[in-house]
Amino acid sequence: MAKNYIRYNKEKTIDWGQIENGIVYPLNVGDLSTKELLDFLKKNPIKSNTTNFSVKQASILSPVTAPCQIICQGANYRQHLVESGLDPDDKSYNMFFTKSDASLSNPIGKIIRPNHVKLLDYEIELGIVFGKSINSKIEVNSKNVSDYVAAFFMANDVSARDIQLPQMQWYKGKSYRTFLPAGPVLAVLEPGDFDLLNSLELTLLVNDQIRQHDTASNLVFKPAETISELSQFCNVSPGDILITGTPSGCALRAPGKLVQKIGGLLSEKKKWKLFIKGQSKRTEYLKPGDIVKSSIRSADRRIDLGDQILEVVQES
Amino acid sequence: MNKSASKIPTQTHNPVSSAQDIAYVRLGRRNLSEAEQYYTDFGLRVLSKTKNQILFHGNSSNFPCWSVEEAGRDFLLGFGFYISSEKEFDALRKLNGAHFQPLGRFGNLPSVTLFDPSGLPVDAILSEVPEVSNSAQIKRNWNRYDSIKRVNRPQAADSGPSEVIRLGHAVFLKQEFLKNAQWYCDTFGMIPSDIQLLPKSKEPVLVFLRCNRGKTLTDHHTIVIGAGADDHLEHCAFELKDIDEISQGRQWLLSQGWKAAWGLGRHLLGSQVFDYERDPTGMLVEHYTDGDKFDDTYPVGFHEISRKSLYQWGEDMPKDFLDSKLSFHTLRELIKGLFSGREIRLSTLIEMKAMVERPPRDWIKY
Repeated sequence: MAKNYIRYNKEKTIDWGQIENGIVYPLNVGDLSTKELLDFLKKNPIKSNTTNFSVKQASILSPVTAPCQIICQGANYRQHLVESGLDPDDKSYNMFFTKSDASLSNPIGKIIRPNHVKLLDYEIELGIVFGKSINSKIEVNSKNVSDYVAAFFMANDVSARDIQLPQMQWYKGKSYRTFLPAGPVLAVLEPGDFDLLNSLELTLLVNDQIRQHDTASNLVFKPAETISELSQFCNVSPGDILITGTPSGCALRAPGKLVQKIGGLLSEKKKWKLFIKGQSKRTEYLKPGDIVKSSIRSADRRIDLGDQILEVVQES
Repeated sequence: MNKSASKIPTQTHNPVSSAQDIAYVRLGRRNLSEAEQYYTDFGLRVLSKTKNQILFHGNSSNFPCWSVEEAGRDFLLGFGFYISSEKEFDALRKLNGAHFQPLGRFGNLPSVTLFDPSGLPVDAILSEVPEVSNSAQIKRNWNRYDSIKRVNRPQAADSGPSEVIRLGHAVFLKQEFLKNAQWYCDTFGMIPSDIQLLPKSKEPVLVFLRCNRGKTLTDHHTIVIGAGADDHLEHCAFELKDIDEISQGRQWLLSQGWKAAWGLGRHLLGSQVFDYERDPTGMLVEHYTDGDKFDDTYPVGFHEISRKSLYQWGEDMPKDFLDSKLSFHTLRELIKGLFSGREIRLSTLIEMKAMVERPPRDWIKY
């Protein structure tokens, strides 16, 4: 069964620990990067005997450390495609983009809304951590995919829609600081665990209302074929991450087909002005004071990526 | 999602009390003697009997866990929780509308009665949870491939009612799901273990609530609150020792001419091996064993609700196991609820009805 690790700060010291039933067993390895932790675990599989403590006594940090490469998939859940104005049966390509690793932030903490951003959106996603380098085109299938995937974690692909879409700047719109809360748990996989991916349930709530809920079995492009395609144009190192797309239920709602057609007749400027005006009416966008909670776990809890609790605050 | 789903019930940080377990359920019944026969065959023992009330207990304690009381119709009268802290008990006493009974309902322990938002009387009984005694003898030893327990000795062939150890949980359907579920969290410190959502609207419609006993282990759920067209008790579940007891209990009830409902099988949420029967009024009652136990750290999970999600393996679920028909009584209650200004989401009930009518497995055709 997957072992869960957290990276934490306790009494001004950063360390990693194994976590079980709310109890942290420190590894006493110091502030290792995610890659270094994975290397350490391969060599030292035994729990150290230091005093354990309740997870409440530490502040939990992102288990994904910078620098790392962050690769993202877009529109990768069927229902989310429909909501984004795309036809799931038409979409024959796997959509990739990236985020800056400056966006990585803690799983229990804050999402800072930049002052020029109005359309702040949430996207719960299952993240995978690469455990093996890829330097050439490879064929990954259901049998060898677990060689490449060292761990699962939870991510929130926070997005400023009014930058991402009208300016066509996905990188910028998705990379402001605190736009990638990650963790709390790094679930390091053991043989057989990868297959539990299909039973993972992703849930995101804003102010205790369900906004997103789906099962990872509804991923359109699964990790094996995604990694195969990625290897055609991208090198990957251990510790790099892939976030696999978000289910339906984001604040962003694409205009209907007819409106899109009419929009096509307008100038770009006019079109996006109308887009922002339309989206601004949607109360689902995040506002300062909102609390975003999310979890990813299987019903039988064999994989449990923990709970994120984030408060939205205005940039000061 | 067309419109935002309602809030989910959440754990309260400063609840009035922390219920420790379910103590008893009280039922009104037109036919007491029939109920006595049935529940004796079911595996409960009669503790005391008067002209208009029979108290039953499980094998683990002499506290009553099941009260059948003479009434003009068959319905749920109320139920009770154990509260072990005197301070919490006093706080409950001070709540609006609380009714204190120095000797409780059954003359043995002090209790205070409150009313949940649906108007159901809920008793808080000041007592530690009765210890489950270990005295029940082991009736059957299993020969396993790696350990032989019976040599030159066949398995005992017992017949008779199974031995009910204790009342485990009760499932209530409510017209106002959230209001009721949150009331139990706020008043009795219940913690959501799992919440089920409608597939399309993501509307939360069912919550498994467990007791907060700190590090002491408790059942995956002690009560369940679900959304329904009327307020009623959906079923109660009693813990048995093992799977043999469950099968033997089913065999006995059938041999006595009673009706089975669904079983054997194993649940997904809570993991219990179960068998459902119907009492003489048609109400579901469950025998179970091997349920999950949790402390207060277990986090809440969210799942789509469907017939499929009710079991990981088991006999095919009969169509009538879940009631999707609107009876005259239910319809009348629904109309009454709507007219009295209750927060009833009709769209939720329509989506639930559609969900309930979908067969749980590919090979089952309704």
